[in-house]
Amino acid sequence: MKICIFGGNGFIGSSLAKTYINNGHKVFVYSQTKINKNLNFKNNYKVNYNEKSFAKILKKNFDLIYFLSGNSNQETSKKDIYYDLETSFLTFVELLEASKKSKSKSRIWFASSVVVYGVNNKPLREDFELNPVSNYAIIKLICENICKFYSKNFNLNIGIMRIFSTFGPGLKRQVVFDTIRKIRTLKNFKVIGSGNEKRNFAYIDDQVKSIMLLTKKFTKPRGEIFNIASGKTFSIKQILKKLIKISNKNVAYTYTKKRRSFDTKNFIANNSKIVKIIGKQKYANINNALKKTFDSF
Amino acid sequence: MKKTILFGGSGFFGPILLKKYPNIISVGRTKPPKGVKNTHINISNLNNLKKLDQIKFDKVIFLIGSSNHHIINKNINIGIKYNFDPMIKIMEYLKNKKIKKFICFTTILLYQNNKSSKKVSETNRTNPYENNYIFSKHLLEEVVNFYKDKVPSIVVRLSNIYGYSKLKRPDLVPTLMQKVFKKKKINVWNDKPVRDFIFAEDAADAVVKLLNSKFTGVINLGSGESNSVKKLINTISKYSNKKIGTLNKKVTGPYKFLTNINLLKKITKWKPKYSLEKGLLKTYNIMKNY
Repeated sequence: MKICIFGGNGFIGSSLAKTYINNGHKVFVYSQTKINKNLNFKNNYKVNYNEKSFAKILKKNFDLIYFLSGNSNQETSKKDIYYDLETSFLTFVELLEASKKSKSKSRIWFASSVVVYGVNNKPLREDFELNPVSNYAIIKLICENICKFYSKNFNLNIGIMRIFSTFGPGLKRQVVFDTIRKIRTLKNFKVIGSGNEKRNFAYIDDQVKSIMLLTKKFTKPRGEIFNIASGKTFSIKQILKKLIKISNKNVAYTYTKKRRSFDTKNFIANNSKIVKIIGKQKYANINNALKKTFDSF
Repeated sequence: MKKTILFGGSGFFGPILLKKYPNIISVGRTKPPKGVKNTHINISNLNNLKKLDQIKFDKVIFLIGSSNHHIINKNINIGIKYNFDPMIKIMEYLKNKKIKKFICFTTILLYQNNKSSKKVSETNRTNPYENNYIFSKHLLEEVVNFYKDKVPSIVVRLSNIYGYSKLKRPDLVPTLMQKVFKKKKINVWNDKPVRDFIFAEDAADAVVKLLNSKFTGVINLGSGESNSVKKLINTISKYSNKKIGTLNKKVTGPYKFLTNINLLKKITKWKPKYSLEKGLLKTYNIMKNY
């Protein structure tokens, strides 16, 4: 297959690109910010995202296009919603406009996020009402809307992936990374929140496999949404204890008790919709996955 | 007492509302038309909202946006630019201001998948993906909903509003009025559709009552009455002595589209004062002198 990955220098994008390349597919990676030369991708380009440049790229007639570009840092979004608007939303509209005008047949998969659900402690299902609480989340939700709008009105194949907490070597933010960094560098540190927050943690290789199977098997997406999640839930406290055990270090920590404005208590996944498409998967053992991540530092 | 400010005082609805309520302060880059005496504060654009810090206000009527579905349906970016972006900007400004109430406007066309001829109420499912215009209004509603904890808001889903205006607008009543004073032969696309036409002065009263209510959320605003385009053109014909014909062309939207306004009535105790005939007569008499 011929595959295009916008945002293919990022954490999930680069893993996806690598796996496709290793499986013999032709992959083109594009970035609107910077290129990671260490990735050694043959086709890795920095481009200004606009309708014209997208139109040119679309001429390559890709089978699959992933849109993983845009800001992925909630701290940045919190400070400046306009940055997300520019980099995540408006650029995406330009891609869809270009796709519409060129009558593109490529399947486009947009990377949304679990955060669109907002405050909800139940296992999250794709048809739940959404209550986003952060700037990052509202922009993702607006993008989901635009996916549905373009696929319903302009005969485009667009699917939406709500990606749950993903960790693994190479990720430079979020709780697993932060905790490893603290354990490795500090004797005494603070952990944000109460430790009782629950997340569906999934290892990068599992997530990439799920995404690849989904986009291979679900060939006519028309605004459909899928949770990309392992279905395995852990509290922050459990993850912390596992990482400390892996480190073999004596560290002391306290909880800040207070969460950041954009954090919610739980994000528990219901992944039955994707499982129906891709079948039951064998996911990585959490201890092994955390160890691999810890050792990669 | 803190003031109410209104954005969009130079559009269609703004001047009518301001004139009825002279204490409301107009803000924006264009002054309201002559005859509207409300205080006006010049804000060159929505990136310049800090200028409003000088006013003590706690209520906002936001009429900025485009209702020109002809243009937006050709280009989604216009819808984003005029209906979505301004809402983000005003909300980003208001989120720390602790205001009491924010009112903005979308359209009852959001319910346009409604197959039955029953009146649409707020609990009806919406169909935000019908076209660019409706979609841009839907995005605006998503933004308002996102900021609801910091900015207590009402989204008014407006039916077919009409009234006097000097602006050239694509809507049925102002277009017909402007034509009856100039042309001999006038035709409408089709006279069969039935709609909820609401006179702008009635709508202004409802908006101010809503502003002073405790309600937040989505609410319909219309007259609650159903009238055919045929009745409307016959009434204008009667006042103007001009014949208005129909081309009987195919209508893209539904033939019958009506608004349930029970929630609005319950909350505000408001009811429209103008029948279609009375509203059109006032519109005709005012526009005759333009």
